[in-house]
Amino acid sequence: MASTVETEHHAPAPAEPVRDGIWRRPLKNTGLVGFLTTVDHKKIGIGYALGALFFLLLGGVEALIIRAQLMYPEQELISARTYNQLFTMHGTTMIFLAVMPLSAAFFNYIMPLQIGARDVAFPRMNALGLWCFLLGGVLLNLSWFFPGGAPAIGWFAYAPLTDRQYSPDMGTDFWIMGLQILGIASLVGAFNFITTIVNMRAPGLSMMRLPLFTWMTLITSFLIILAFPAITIALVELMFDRHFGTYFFNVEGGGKPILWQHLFWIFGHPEVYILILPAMGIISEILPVFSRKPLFGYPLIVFSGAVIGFLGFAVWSHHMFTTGLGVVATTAFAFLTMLIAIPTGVKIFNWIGTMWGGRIRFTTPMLFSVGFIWMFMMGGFTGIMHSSPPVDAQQQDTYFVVAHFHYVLIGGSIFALFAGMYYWFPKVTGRLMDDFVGKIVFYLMFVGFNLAFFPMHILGMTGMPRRTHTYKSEMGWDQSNFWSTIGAFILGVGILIFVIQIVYAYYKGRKSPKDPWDSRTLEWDTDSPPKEYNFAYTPVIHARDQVWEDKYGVEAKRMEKIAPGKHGIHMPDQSWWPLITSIGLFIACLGMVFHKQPIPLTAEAVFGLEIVIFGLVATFVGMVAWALEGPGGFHLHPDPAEYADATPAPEDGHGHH
Amino acid sequence: MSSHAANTDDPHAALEPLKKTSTGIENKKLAMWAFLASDCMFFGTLISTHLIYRKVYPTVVEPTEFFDIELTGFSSFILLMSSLLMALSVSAAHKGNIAGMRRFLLGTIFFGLIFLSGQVYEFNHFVKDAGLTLSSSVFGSTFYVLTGTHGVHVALGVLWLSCWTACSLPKDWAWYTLRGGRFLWLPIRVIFAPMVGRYKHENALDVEVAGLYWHFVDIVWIVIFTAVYLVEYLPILGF
Amino acid sequence: MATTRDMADTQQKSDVPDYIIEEHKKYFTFFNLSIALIAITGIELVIIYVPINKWFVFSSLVVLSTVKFLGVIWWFMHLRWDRALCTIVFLIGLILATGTVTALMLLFSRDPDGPPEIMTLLPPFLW
Ligand code: HEM
Ligand SMILES: [Cu+2]
Repeated sequence: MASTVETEHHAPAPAEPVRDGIWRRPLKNTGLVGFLTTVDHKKIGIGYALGALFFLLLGGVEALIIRAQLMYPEQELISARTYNQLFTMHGTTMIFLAVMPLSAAFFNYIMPLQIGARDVAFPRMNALGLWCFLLGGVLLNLSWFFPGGAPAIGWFAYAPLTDRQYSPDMGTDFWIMGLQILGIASLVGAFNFITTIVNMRAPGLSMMRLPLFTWMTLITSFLIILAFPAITIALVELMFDRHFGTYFFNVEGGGKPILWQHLFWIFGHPEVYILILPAMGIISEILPVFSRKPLFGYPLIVFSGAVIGFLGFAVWSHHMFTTGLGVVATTAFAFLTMLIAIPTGVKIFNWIGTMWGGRIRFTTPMLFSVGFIWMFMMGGFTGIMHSSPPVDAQQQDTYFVVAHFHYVLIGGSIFALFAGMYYWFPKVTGRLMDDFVGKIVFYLMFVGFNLAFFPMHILGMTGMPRRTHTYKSEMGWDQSNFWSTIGAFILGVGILIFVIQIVYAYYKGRKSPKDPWDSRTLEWDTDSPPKEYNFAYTPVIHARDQVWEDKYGVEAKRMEKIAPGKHGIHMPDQSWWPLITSIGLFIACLGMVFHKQPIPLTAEAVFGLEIVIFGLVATFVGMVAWALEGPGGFHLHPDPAEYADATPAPEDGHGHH
Repeated sequence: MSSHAANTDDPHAALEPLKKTSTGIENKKLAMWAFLASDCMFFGTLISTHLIYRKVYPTVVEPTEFFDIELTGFSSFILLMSSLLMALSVSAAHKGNIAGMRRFLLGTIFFGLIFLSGQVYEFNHFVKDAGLTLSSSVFGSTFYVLTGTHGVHVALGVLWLSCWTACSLPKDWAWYTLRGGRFLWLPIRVIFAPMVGRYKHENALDVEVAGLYWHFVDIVWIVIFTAVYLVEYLPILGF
Repeated sequence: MATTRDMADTQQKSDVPDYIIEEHKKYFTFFNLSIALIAITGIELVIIYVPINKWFVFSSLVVLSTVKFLGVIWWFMHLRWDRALCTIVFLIGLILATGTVTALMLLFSRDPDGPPEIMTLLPPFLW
């Protein structure tokens, strides 16, 4: 550690000492306390990734149990009710606790590096997002341990099944409140990323020079802030129905269950783009690197991303074609849905154009990326099929749809996220992952995935319903189901090897140079792993693929560097309050679950709103203390060798903040 | 984000470092506008729910029988005036006139509290005299949850502005706030006392951001006032 | 009033910084706006009782409340003086919300059967 730390508080000699809130701020940035109080976007990103990988495995195990149950006809491996709980928890876990947070891990870790920022705009809020994500996942999964067990309502929880009358147990309440906290996590993260990307770009880094991953982070964040409110309100209304006797979705008092479907899908469709756009961003970073060519049609890809995001809000009813929306509405939604295929197709052509004529290196990240293009396209084709209402009427609620969305979610999102993990692992840990093992993982996943899910197309076309606990042999589905299960286990083995590989590489992997792939974007210009302050200098950007230009470009396009001023680099202080605030929220949500419900031991309803109120007060106190404490800050002085080639900071400036 | 000019006496100069961003917009302000964009969708969903059920069951209740449009009109007036005071206090903050800012903030809070009392009175009246509860009809469900959510927004705004009012009090009021003001409930004193005297010129931005939130709550009310109250007086629902 | 007197002072002293003069000008804008807002609210309260075509009244209400809405965001919320990006960000949310509300309203239609009788356990005087 060549840098010296100076724990002076930044305001030059304030008239009175800065008060620190209730207790002294934690200064130690290592160990457990260092992690629990961190505000460093890189550690937070790693926290997201570890949590997401854990939940990916959990959701994977749930999926494998589902598949085991379906391996042979008329099995009773698990009861029908457990089966319902498993697919509900599997779907919810995969979407909200695996894919979204894994994307968020990349947003956190990579995006600030790509724009040359020292951190995100609101570091403590970023920590709040992480803790809300983890506690939301915990809350959702706590449901297993309470009477009635996990929710059994499907991941979209259609009314009136969610009514107290039909789902009397607490599982559904855990689902509601768990999603509510996860929503908060996504929202605070998104506000933060929008502000960071728009406002904290390095000098010279205009919007049209942003790396594509950063662009997709921005668009995804907008989708989050505009889509999540719909489900937040829908969940509030459902909560009121279940706890306070309202009739939002309750037919008894005139509520219309169809309203839930609308509100859910107003969120739900943009949500699928929230799951796929980050993946597209990752792919758009990796393909140029391993094709040794700039991204083909950069502005078009950005523009199509924005169009996809916007249109994504106008197609929600394609999930409801079979509910009888009326001819006009059905036609309009079908038309708009088909329209989305255009910008998506544009992107696919651009990726192919990027590879065309390039000097392609098939490393593991590249294999996953190419796998992504192909598999995502398959999912896209089936998607276009059910954008046609009469076709959808045949496919809705069959295994055909299960095949479709796994092609886009696994073949799409998961493949791209794996590509991203292989690609950025050296940056994050400073170590390389073995390419040979990586290829084994890829082929296992690729073969397993297709074996598991391709037959589902046929199962669906021949009538096998989705969410079915078992089936009769006469239906002729035995073969396909058997092979599908085999495929699922192969896919599982692939993922398992990946986990082992990543743990191994973390401890034993070969050391990585700072730019192992001969990459193009700014994050590769700093150390692997990056220092706490990301960059010892302020990068001044002159080109889109800046790091590539530095290596191979003309003199005029080389990056300039500005040395830190005499104050050094300003860093925010660590804080306990994000964690405490999120615990307050957790308690409030847990209290809402227990509200007037028989809980274990007493078997009687003992709690009114006491716990909720306590939790909210704790949240409020946490927020006040948070505000009183302020961002704080200290200065770091990097080793001058790190910015030897930089120009000195201008007199008035304070270098890199 | 750090501002080395923090302890300057020049209110304008104190805000300049916060503008040194890629767009020239302060981070907090940009984040607030993004939040408000998001909040449009929150209230959009709530208002849709209410209006949908008005359209589906136009005759389930006859709200004009119990609505008190004079009171609601008065509440709207109060909220609009509070917005004026809020704008004035932001303006005062930008001029570095802390005492003036505090006065206007107190006025805003006061009007906010009047609005809230009006709402409490209204709810009370609807429950007691009109029998409208959360479970008396789907109208009750949507009406209370929509206007209640708005009320919660107002209450949070009042809290937020109170914090800045406390911050803007002169330093030597800290002890007084904690000990004195016997009419204040102890936990409130304990919460607010540590804030006293913390306001610096650069915090004008924070007041401005709180103000944006406050105005937003006001414009949501403008919509609710028309869509939930006024149109009930026109027999055109169920179109 | 204090504000007007401040204003008079400012005009005499020429060394007053620009931003102070700016803020003073805003005072009058804000006052005028608030008077307009109240006037509009008054008009809204009256026209609902005027015996003319209800759809005409309805349209007027929509226009009037839109004007109030825009007035508040444009002046009170400073969009007039801030960078355009703030307006754009907010408009994205606003337009999307308006579109969604409109689409939802069109997707639902009157239930000819009306709501069911509510069989709650509440005492009769509460329903
Ligand atoms: C090991 C890999 C996986 C396997 C073997 C698997 C298997 C399945 C199966 C068989 C179902 C259908 C259950 C039924 O309808 O009865 C299902 C549902 C679902 N899966 Fe997966 N899945 C896997 C990974 C994923 C991933 C990565 C995601 C999301 C990113 C995902 C999202 C979903 C969703 C949303 C549902 C619908 C749940 C519901 O019907 O409510 N799955 N999965
Ligand atoms: Cu969709």
